[in-house]
Amino acid sequence: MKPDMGSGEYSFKRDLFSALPSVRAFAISLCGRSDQADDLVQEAVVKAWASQERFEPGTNMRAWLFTILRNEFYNQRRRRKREVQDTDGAYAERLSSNPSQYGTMDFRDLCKALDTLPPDQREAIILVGASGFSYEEAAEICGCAVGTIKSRVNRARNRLQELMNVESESDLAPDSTMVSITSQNLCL
Amino acid sequence: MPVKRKMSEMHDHGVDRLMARNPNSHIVDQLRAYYSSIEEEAVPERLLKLLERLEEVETAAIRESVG
Repeated sequence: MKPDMGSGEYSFKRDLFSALPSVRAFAISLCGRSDQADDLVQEAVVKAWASQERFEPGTNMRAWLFTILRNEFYNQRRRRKREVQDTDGAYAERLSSNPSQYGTMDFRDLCKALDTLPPDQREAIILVGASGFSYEEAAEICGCAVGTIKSRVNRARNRLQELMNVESESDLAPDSTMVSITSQNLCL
Repeated sequence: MPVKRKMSEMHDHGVDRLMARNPNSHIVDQLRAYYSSIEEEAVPERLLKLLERLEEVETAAIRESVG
């Protein structure tokens, strides 16, 4: 199934479609490989579609969609927090009880480590380190100062580095309970 | 159909600065590899269907307002 590529004029759908893989990667990096990630993308697509008049053709579709998805992520988080106490703990537990949530073995340690970062640091390092946004663009997406993004990225990178070193040292005796507890504490 | 994106197309100064500041760090490399492995996956059918559906609804609405 392909979007309509026939016409030479600007197509919102085509623009949106080509940004989808990256938007989805952002969602999965934010909240793990889960239905929640695809729900988030779906929600973002519906919202973007509904407000397409506000999108200026030629500007950065990816940044626009990321902003929408990110807002949705935090809205859902707030809603869930109100509904269920300790949602993050439950989430971490679900992740640790199901290793496939972390994807392939290659990235399992990285995903576990990402999961323990506070959300603001996680999104900062993903946006700048993986999604390919500049510090300035990331600051715009997150609605904060460039300096704030820089310091979040630094803290995230240092923390990931620490965690990944610990992970590789403890490879012989992995302790999933400990990972889960750490992640609970740090996510809150 | 998945839209593949090469890392070279996503050239970014932020990453360059990250790497320059900490050339021994493999974290950013890993993060990029993880991220692009997800980008390379096929877009799930439900999202493709959603787009189709949105377009159908829009087309129907336009027809209604014109006709």
